Order: sequence, then C-alpha cells, then structure tokens
Amino acid sequence: MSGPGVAALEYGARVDFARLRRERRARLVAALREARLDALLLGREANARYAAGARRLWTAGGRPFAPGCVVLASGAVHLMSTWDEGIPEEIAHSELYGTTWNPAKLIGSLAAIPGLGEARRIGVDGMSTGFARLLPGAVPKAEWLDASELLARVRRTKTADELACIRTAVAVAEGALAEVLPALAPGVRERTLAGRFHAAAARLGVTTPAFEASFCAGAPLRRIPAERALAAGELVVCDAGVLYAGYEGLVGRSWPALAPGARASAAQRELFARARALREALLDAARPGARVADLCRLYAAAGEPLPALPVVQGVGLGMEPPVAGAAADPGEARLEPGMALSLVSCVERSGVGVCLLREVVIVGSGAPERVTRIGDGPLST
Amino acid sequence: MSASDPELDLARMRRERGARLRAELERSELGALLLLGVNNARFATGVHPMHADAARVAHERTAVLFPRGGAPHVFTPFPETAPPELARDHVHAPLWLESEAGVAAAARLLRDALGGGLRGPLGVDEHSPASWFGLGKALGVELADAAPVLGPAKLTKSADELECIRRAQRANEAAMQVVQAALRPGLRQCDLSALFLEALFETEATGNCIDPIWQVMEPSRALGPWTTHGDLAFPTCTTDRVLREGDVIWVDTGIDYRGYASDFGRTWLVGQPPRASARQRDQFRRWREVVDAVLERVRPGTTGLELVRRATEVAGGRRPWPEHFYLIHGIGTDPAEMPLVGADLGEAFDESVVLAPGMVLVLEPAIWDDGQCGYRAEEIVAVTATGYTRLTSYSYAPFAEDA
Repeated sequence: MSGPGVAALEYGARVDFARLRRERRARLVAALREARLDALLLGREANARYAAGARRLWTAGGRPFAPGCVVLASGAVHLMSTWDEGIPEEIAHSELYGTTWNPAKLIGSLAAIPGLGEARRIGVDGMSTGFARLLPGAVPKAEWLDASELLARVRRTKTADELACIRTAVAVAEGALAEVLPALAPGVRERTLAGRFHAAAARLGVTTPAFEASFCAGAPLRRIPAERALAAGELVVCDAGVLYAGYEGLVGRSWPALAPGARASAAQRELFARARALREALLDAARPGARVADLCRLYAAAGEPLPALPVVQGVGLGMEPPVAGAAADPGEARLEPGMALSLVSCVERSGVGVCLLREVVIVGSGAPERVTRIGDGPLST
Repeated sequence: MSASDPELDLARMRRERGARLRAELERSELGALLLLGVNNARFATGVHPMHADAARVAHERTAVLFPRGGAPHVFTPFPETAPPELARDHVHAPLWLESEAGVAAAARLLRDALGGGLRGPLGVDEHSPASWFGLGKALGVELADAAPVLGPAKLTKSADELECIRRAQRANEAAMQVVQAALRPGLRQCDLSALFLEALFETEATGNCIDPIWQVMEPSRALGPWTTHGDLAFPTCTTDRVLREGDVIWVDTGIDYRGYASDFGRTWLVGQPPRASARQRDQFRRWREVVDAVLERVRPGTTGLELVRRATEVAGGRRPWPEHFYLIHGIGTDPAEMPLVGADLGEAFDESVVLAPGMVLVLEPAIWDDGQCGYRAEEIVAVTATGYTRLTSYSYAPFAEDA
C-alpha cells in the first residue's frame, strides 16, 4: 500500500481491490461449503458487499429483508442490480438481476439462477413474512438456516487489503475532523460542525458516512447534533465516521470550545486524565484471547458507568460484531489476531462535560496496533 | 423557519398519526406491532434516532412496541429523542436483537411491557436474523407482517405531516441552490456532495438520507452502463468523476425534516455559463407537458391507471420513465412509499390506486431522445379536496427561466 489516498496511481492501485474481492469470496465460499450449505441469500448490504464487492447506492437506515445477493456453493455470486456500473468485472451480466417493486418478479429472477432451485440448505441473514411465503416458489425444497454466525466468523479477521481500506478510512475521518476542529469555537452551531465534517470527507473523495457526525456539547452524553450554538468553554464530543469502499473509519475526541487564548478548565483536564487512564487500560487489554465482555468490565474497575454507546465494536464493512456495551451483549466472543476494533473510553461529569476517546486498533499477537493517530488536543496540554 | 410559515404542531401530528395507526391495528387481527424499521418507529411515536449506515442501525436499534390499548413503548439508544408526552416508564434501553441470547432477553422485556397476553399475532415490520428465527418462540406468540396495518395508516397525510414534507423540500432546495450556483467544469461529483452537505446543515433539515446523486448522462443508452432491461441506468453512485463542459447531469438528493423525507430531482448542465440547446429546451417542454397533463387529472377519485395512460399518451405512446422506475411515488416517513403509480406492479395495481385528499405524489417522468440525452425532474404535490397543491418551488434553469 502506497499510503492512504483514494486516487488510483499509474503504477498500481493503493489497495489491490481485485485481490481483496477474490480473498473475501474465497473465504465465504469455503465457509459455506464447510457448513454444508448450498447457497446464501443475503439481504444486509454489508454481507452483500463482502460477497460481491459492488458499490450500490448508500441510504441511511436499514431496509426490510430482500434477497439482494445470492452466493452458491459453486462459488458463483448473483447480485441485484439493474446495471453494471459499480459492479466488479468478475460478476457477469448474466449474474445480475434487476431491481423491482414486484416481489413476484424478484422470485422469478431467483428461480432463473442456475443451481439455486435445487438448493436444500440455504443460509440467510434475515427474512420477512412476505418472502418466507414467496421464496418456496423459487426454491421449493429449501430449509432456511440462520447464517449470521457464519458470516460474522468469516468477516471477523481482516485480510491485508481490508486493513488497508480501514487505515484509509480512518485517515479520511481524521483528516475531515482536523479540518473542522479550527472552527470549533464559542458561538458555532453543533450542526454546522457536523455539516463541515461531512463536506470535508466528501472533498477527500468519500461521500458515504458511517453515521451523522456527532458534535455535541455538555453532559450527559448526546449523540445527535442540535441547533444550539456552543458556549465558551463547553466540552464538545466529536465522534464521526466514514465508509471508504464500504469500510468504516472512525474518529472520536472531546474538544473544548475555547475563546482565543483560553485554556481547558482544571475539571475538564481532570476528566480527560480519567478518560486517558481508561483508554490505556482498554488498549492494554485488547490482546488475543481476551474476552470482549472483560473489556467492558474495565469501566467498573475504573469506577465509571458504561456509556449509552457501544464501547467495543468490530470495524469492517460498517459496524460489526463483536459489539459490547451497556446495551449490547458480546456473549463469549474473544479477540483474535487480525480483528479490527474500535475501543471507546467515555467518561462524564455533570457540570464538566463528556470526555470521549475513540481508538481504532488492529489486534496483533501482543499489544494492538493503533490505527488512530489524531492527538488529544487542548485537554492534554 | 420564517414568520409566514404555516403552523406546525408536532404534538398534534404525533397524536393524529398514533390514532390512525391504532385504528388500523384495531381493524386487524394483530395483537400489537413491533416496529424495528427506523422510519416506522419514527412514524409510530416521533422518536428520532441517529441517521446512520444500515449496519450501525442494526447494532444500535430503536424499536417501538405499539399495543392495541395504552401508550407505545420505545426501546432506544437515543432516549433524548423520545417524544415528551411519552411517560418515562415507556422509554427503555435498546433491545439487542443480534444474538439468540439477546432475543431471549428482548422477549422478557417485551412481555413485561405488554403486561398481559396478546389478543392476536405480533405484527413485525422487519427482522434481524435472530429475531426471525427466535422471537416468536421466545415470546410464545405467532409473528405476522406489520405492513398491512402500517400501509393504510401512512397513505394519507395530515396538515402537519404535509407541512413537514414542505419544509423538508424547502431545506433540500436551499442546499441545492448553493450547489447549482457553484456548478462549473472541473468540480468533481464528490465536490458537489461537499457543497450540498455543508449547505444542508445550515438549514432546518434534521439529516441527510441518501448519498447525493450527480449522474452524468451519456447521450444514448448504448453509451451508458449496460442494463438488465436495456433501458437507462439511473441512479448510479457518486465518485470523484470530474465534471466537464457540456455534461448533462441528473441530480437526485433526499433529506429529512423531523422524520419526513424530501425528494429533489432536476437536470442540470455543466458549463460556463450553462446553456441549454434548442433540443434540450424542447425536452424540458415535453417533460412539462407530461407533468401538466398528469396534474390536470390529479384530484380525489382519479386512478393511477388514468394517470399512467395520460402520461403515456402525451409522451407519444411510450411510457416516459425508465422501466425500473415509476411515474409517481408517494413520500412520507419513507422516501418512496405508496402510492406507486406506473411501477412494474401491473395495470390492475395502478387501477387500484385511487387518489384521495392528503396523498402526496412525487411525479418523476423523464424525456429521453436516444442519442440526444434527456430531461428528468421531480415535482411534488399533495392531493386536496378539489385538486392538488404544490410542495416544490425550485427553478428549471437553465432549461427555462421560470420558477
């Protein structure tokens, strides 16, 4: 990889996308065969993207299940797309089926996929009442199985090319935040900062967000930027992310809205010191074999309550397992080399603010590699 | 917001929407609704979760339990966005539906919130894999589709909902005005997105809903992307493509205002200054003719099929929109919802669509002269007791001087 960037270079691509797609597909098909599945029917965009590598239109929010991608044990991938723009060259025109408003037509398209009709064991990443009723029309003998564990397992550890995408995404997110931070001053609207973040990322070539950028002042923690203007000295949680080639790049810091010449308050710096200590503990614990649930317990050990956002999450094609926090149960998940994670240290004090420090790391054989490079800002000086 | 704005009463809007949904629920066989789709949760209660990528939404889910009697329950990571009229014991921590254990725990929480048993199946709008395979069993109830209850409740809009859509459209148009004023050769598609997003967050908009589209249209179908149906490809994704003198771009953006979607579509020309040829002005004129001919018939009682036939007749016998699209779609808490007119659902379906006051229609015909490119724009109207009222007011420059 020739450093983070999104343009192609005359001597090669920064990320070998053909290899990226080949390796992902090979992993998926091997897992499918090992599980003795005949096919996968995928509705979640991240799973479809993993299998097919296509760029389809980004929209906010989820959608009800619809079979937008079919993977066969033969290794063939069929994709719902009315055109071939955004579709990798290894997917033939005969492997595309058009979008439709008519579920019966979609069933007809699926029925025409060679080999799918005879499938007996099919893994899915969702289902709906309507498709459960219609799908036997295309696949009469199928038994439907939950493939989410299989998909999570395949996606959990990253190839070198996937890691290159994640590093690029983080570089873009950090770069976009760096462009916004000089404007973070008393009197500026929270929503203005969010707009500037998204605009800066778009100018770096990345127009798809991981979520609406969060620039929220004060305590308790809020995550949706409001119409309100920042007051002098307020501590602002800046938490944002982008999707580059589908891969998530996250950045999160707390920054005080300082008038020229002003400094962060002693109480804010004390809050930062607590957040930094918790961050160090999280980073130290992010080693292979560690239970994800135990990372969450570091909050209790530090005497801090778990915040309302996930404190550990997998970083890949968007947010992915393991996800852990006050509302997310990672079960018995353990860390292994090659996983990319986001770790959040987030502490708050009423009247002082919220200090959030987000680190993207890659789990290695010992201490994790830190992808995050952005500094801690005025709280640390 | 401006002083002359029509009144918007969000509490009344939520109350009236909730009453419509409850009336539909009571007419149905369902015992309660469990709404996991963001737009449906917004519709049912007014909760307003963060706009995010689908993968994040699945892991930080907002859910609404809507019973036959009593107030709904909201389970959300964004409790600060729950409506003020909802008692605090009806606002809960989020459900975790991404694992079997999570679904079992969610079933306990849902049972507690419901109190007694259900008088019928639980209608669910969309599922995580674990909820599809495990929720019915964990709850001991039959699961059914919530769509037959949601659809009719959403179909016609109250005055407050129409005002939300009008404001969404106004914010969207204001941001597009900034982009169009800056448009010139040498900008990349992603630069237009940057201009749009920066401007959008200065308006009253409450979020962006779609990666903005600035598709450069090739003059003929054959020169554009290959398609499964042989018709036009649209919309394709934004990249860092550099815009050039003479490019015809079909733009399409959509934003959110308090849970309601906008939909902006126009054809723009890249140039210094952008100038429309006689042919291009003619394409716009023919687009205008289709829209005017359809609008002439927009009033309660008109069927979708009548509108399709009229549009096709005015366009010279061929349906004036790409085959995978439609002449008209509805808009509300979803960017494309019922009524769909001229989609691939068939003539009988179009005939079953009967216009009624409060329906919102997004007209999006396209005129295409293969080899000479074409014109596409979107026009939004609300059906009234006697006709329609416009919800859009953006100019058609550089194809026409009027607004």
